[in-house]
Amino acid sequence: MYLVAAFEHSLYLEVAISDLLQNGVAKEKILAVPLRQKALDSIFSNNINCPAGTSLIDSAAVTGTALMVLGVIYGFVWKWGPIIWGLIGLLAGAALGAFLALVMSRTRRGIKRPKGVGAEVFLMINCNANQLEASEQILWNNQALGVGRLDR
Amino acid sequence: MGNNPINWKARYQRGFISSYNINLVYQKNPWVVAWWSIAFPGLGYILLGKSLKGIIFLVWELIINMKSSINTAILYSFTGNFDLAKQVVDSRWLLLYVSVLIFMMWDSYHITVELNKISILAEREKPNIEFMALNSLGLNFLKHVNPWLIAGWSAFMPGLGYLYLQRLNIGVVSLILWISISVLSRLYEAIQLTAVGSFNEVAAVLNPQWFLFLPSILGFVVYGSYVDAVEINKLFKAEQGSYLEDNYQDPAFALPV
Repeated sequence: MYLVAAFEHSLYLEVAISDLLQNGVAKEKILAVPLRQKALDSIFSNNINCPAGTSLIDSAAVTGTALMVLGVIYGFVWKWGPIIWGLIGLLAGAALGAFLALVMSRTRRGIKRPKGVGAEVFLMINCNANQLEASEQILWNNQALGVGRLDR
Repeated sequence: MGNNPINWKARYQRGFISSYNINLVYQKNPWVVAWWSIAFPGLGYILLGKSLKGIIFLVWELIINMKSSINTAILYSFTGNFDLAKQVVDSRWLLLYVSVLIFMMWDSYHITVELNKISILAEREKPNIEFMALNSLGLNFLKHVNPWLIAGWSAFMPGLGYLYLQRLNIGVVSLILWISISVLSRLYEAIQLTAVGSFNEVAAVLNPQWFLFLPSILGFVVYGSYVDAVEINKLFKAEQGSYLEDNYQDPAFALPV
């Protein structure tokens, strides 16, 4: 019998494997395949001087900080004072930066990363019929995203 | 690390963990690094992981800016009081500022371009980093974190996000910078006055020379700790993946085909 499970990268995965070993599953009967993430590889295809990936927060932070400084400066003159104008500058600048980055990324073609929780490691366990229930329970108890049985 | 101990020295490295700090090499936009070098000299180097060099220039920036009253001069210039700006600035110190500022922008730009190449080479290799490091004074380990939570802690109190990321040296420096400058600029009194609606008193209570340091520090720690968190997550996944490949891909595994 085989169990196939999908996990995210976390220490739960290592606890699950350790529990299986404690429970009598032999080490060579556990197969783990970490999945390479598409988004990681797509960075390499970009220009070395301008890597993609975090451009949204990059430009939001840059314009947010710049407009916050301006908000603080003019806040010393304007009615609401430097604190409120500083915050307005920060929010307006961050929104502007994020918007510009979004527009730029729309015009540049790239690989879209799928949203939501994704499987990052596949685990395959070759176990005897009498270990099956306990092993499956161990996988579920350690935050497996999904577990399947294969009767071969 | 099972049958593949990490006591060999890799040529390209993407991270280092010790019992009190984690340092990272990852790809960055060189213009963004150059921008932080201008916003607050020293921050560009800190973003690159060159903490000591960055801290030296942070102190340099504080001394030169205070001595030449640059922040106050910026405030007067932007609000049209050009005569006041000329009066307040001290040219003895101001001219010292210029060449070093340009150097830092240029230097951090070019270091980023080189580090990006190293980072690409390092990412293609097996991650050469210990999972955990401990000694009698402390311990650190690679863990998966929520970057937005880190950014939130940094926004509430610069330094806390870095401390959560186990980057002790930048965390403590950010805390010291924020606490001392926010007290000297009377930030929290101004927040209280703003909150109760006494807008007229806000500008009077604030010290602009100190206060103009704060936006750059706040913006940087939120941004820097967020991107560091994203990269620490990638490093955690790469290290765990490499551990699993080394230990749980036995050729004796009987495939169901």
